Amino acid sequence: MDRSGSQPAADPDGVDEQPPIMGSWPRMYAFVLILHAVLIGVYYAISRLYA
Amino acid sequence: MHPIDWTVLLGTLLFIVAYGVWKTRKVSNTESFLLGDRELKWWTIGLSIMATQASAITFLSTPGKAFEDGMGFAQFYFGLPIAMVILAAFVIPQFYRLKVYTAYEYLETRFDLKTRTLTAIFFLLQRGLSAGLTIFAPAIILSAILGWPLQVTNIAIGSLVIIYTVAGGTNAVSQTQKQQMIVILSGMFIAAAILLSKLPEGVGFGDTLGLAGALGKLEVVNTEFSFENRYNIWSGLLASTFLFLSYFGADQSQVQRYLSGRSLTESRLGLLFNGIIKVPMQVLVLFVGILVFVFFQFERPPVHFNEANLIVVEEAGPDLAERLHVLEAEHAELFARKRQAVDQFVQARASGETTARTEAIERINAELAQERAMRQEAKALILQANPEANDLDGDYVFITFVTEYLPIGLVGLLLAVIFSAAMSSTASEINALATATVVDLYRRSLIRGRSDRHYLQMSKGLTIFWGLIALLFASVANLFDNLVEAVNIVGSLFYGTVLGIFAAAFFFKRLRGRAVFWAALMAEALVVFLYFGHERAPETYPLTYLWLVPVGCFAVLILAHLIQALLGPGAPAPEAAPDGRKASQTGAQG
Repeated sequence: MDRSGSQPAADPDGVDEQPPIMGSWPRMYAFVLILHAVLIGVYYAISRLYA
Repeated sequence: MHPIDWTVLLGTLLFIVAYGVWKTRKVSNTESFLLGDRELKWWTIGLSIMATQASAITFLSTPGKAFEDGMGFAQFYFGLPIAMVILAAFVIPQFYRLKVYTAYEYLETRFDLKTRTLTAIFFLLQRGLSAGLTIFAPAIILSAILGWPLQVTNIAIGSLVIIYTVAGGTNAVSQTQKQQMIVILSGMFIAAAILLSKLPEGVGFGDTLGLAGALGKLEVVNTEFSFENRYNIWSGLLASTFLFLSYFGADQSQVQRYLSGRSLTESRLGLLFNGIIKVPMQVLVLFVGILVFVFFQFERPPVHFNEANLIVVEEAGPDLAERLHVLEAEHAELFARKRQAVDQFVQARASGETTARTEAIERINAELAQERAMRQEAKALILQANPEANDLDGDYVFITFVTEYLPIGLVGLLLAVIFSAAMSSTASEINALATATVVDLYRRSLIRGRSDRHYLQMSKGLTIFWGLIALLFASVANLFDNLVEAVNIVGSLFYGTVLGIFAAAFFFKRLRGRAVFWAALMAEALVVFLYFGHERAPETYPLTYLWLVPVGCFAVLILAHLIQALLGPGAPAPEAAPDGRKASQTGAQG
């Protein structure tokens, strides 16, 4: 995960570095938010199912 | 407590402290002490962030909250993953670009010194108070359970934390938190498994869910909007998002965790890991409380969960003691009747008899209403015996199960969970308090241009200082209605204003320091006014504490725009970083 040695000089802060999975940060963020929405859906279903 | 439990408890705690000290024995400069040489991996950052937020209060108070009110408190955390994504996308890159030690350093670059100093002082006030609570809250409960004097428990937690935080700085905090989170998560899973295994034969997981659900304990999501109802999906998704943006983006105790990442990618992944894991973890902790509730439908609970309070009644005189004995006898009879109804429910559920099941639930609900009345009577006796006593026992529910029903060895492990959680939060807090004091006040405005060794010694000295301040507050704090809420309320008083300052910095490039500074002071006054207004006259001031965060945030933004429109923009933001570095330069401050 340490890519400091191979970072290009134009991006010393790693702002343009991509995540190790999913290909891009927007996809990573979408994954986290969609997973969260699915979990809320599951909690809502539990709330209704056992009400 | 059994000697094996003592061995497990002390062995776990001493191992974690020794590991933290040994792992960080080479700390020799300020950057190493305050930022851990920026070498942490994403999973250490993620666990460290979780451990910082999950104090002992989480594991004492939250199951008790589920026991009393059900799972609805989980909604409080629904805004957290949203906040993690916003911070990872917009905020961390800015901090990395400037190579800051603290979040408040960024504000001087963007606005001016006085806005940076004001925000750092808000943090020191808010976190300084909370650090005392994170020691005090578990200490008062652990003291009652272990039979230790309160001050001894306070000192035990505080001194262990101070030892490894002073020795290894932020890296020691993160390394120990990794171990502590492993202990904490293992402990909670084991507690859940033991609870299920202790249910009577023939009562399965489905029966547990069925009983808890029928008694209204499994409503995780409440879609009804209300400003007065603290926990619903709307306050969770909207108001809590603001609270968590402020907590994770502007509270140094959290910012310091991800600023010590090896790279921007590691820090982002650490935050997103927290965004994925945190909500299910809170649901697990609440579910443990539900399991305790179901367990006590089959096993007779005490009429009051804080045994120390009952001893006070026993010792207050023969009249009160006699009334307590009568109440306990009535409570035992009530439990026997309720147990019959619970058995009827389980049988009806197995045979699919809907009418019998409905009848059983009605009987159980009627008995539970009577039980609540009896618990109120017990509290009245406690207050008669000692008007100064704290009669709330929700925080003692889970610990009562742990000490009374867990097998030997696991009692020590679960107590280690609670001590670990107390230590992990406190360590982050005193570490961050020392960092903000050194970086934002001492080195920036008071004593400039000294050697790195001087600032390292000062950082260590201030870690001890804030540890002692936390211990002092822990010694004199009074117990609030609910410990989790007490900490969150203290946070809500400052988080909105601080979030507004950072929102102005990140998203409103036209705003300048003078307008934001005065807007922040006015917004803070408004938030304090609304909070105390609600405490005195909730009909006139209906906003509960969670809503104070967006109010404070928007007040800063609106007032700053108004002030700037009236007074003009004032001086532009400085071009260089606070200590004279250019914004794009790397390297430690000196």
